[in-house]
Amino acid sequence: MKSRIGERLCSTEDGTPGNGTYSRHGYIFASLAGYVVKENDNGMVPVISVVRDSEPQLLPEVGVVVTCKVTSINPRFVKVHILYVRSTPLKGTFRGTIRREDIRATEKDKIEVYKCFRPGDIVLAKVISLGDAQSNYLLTTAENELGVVVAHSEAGEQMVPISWCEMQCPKSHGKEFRKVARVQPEFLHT
Amino acid sequence: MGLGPTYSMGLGPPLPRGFAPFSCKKRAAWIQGNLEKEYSLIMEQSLQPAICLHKYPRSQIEVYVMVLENDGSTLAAALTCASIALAEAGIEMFDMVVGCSLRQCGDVSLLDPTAAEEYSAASSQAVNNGSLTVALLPTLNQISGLVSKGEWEEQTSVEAIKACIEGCQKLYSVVQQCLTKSVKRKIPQLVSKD
Repeated sequence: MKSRIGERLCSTEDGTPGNGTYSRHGYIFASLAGYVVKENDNGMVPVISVVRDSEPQLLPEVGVVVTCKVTSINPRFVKVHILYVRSTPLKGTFRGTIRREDIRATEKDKIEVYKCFRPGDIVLAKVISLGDAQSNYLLTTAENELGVVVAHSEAGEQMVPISWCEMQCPKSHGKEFRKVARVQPEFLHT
Repeated sequence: MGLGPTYSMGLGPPLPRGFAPFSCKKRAAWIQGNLEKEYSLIMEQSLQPAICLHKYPRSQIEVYVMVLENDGSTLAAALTCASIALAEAGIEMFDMVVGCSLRQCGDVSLLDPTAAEEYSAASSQAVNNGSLTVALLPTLNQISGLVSKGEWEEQTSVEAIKACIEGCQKLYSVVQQCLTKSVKRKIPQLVSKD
């Protein structure tokens, strides 16, 4: 069923407003011109949404895990480019910042940024704030599952994590400090 | 639309809007003049209430309008076009914005005047000589923009606004048809789900 903008779809008793809709005075209206999709949520009230594009606009939201690449480091913070939101690649990169105190959960005052991240590292981080007009997205890696996933050694080889704070280069066997993300159990193969 | 304090949308830079030099009877300059700046402000004020700004935090929505041929009622036409463009771009809106203008000259009122019929202060009529542009949200039946020029008697002014609202409502069905056609064209693969 096609919907027009501002068209009344149904009452809020028959559905909950989803993407592309808004509710007002006890009714659900369409806010996009597209096709109305009704998703039944196993017995609960169905979610009514309007679909326009095959892939909707994706923006990082608070609490979402994003994949980013470190662009520059600084004793106070780390600047990153956000590349993926969950597992969806972004069409354009957003800028993010990881402050020094948000890198780790423990011993925040003893953090040395250059021992946690280096430019070029691929990092899993979580969005904590959208920031205000001038600033970037604020991210955190203060969880075991967050941190560096891919890093290259000074020799240029991709390093292997050996602990939560160290990675080793398979070629030169040199160890480097990083804030390493704990590998999810499903990805560990013995 | 720019960004004010967190989670509330404030006024941003005015919408760039231009008359192409070849659009009016007298060749215009490429640089924005006072009229364009005024129209930009009116357009922003008229379009802002229609857009679901709360769904776009930390985002700026920019609308650019270029008039290619000006034969009167450009503000009204620009408002309608801008709102269709926003809908086509997939920006979520509470309702469309439709613009309509009216020229009053004595007892004669003309909807959607041409450039020759448009308001000029140097007209022979002393009273009820003016022009009116109304921006309406048709489904919600709310006016989001109103510009009035000239001298009006109260009753005439009220009737003129009503006439403009009716004009907007008539235009609304054309606007919706246009969008529906574009939806069919853009997402043909979902038609089978009907």
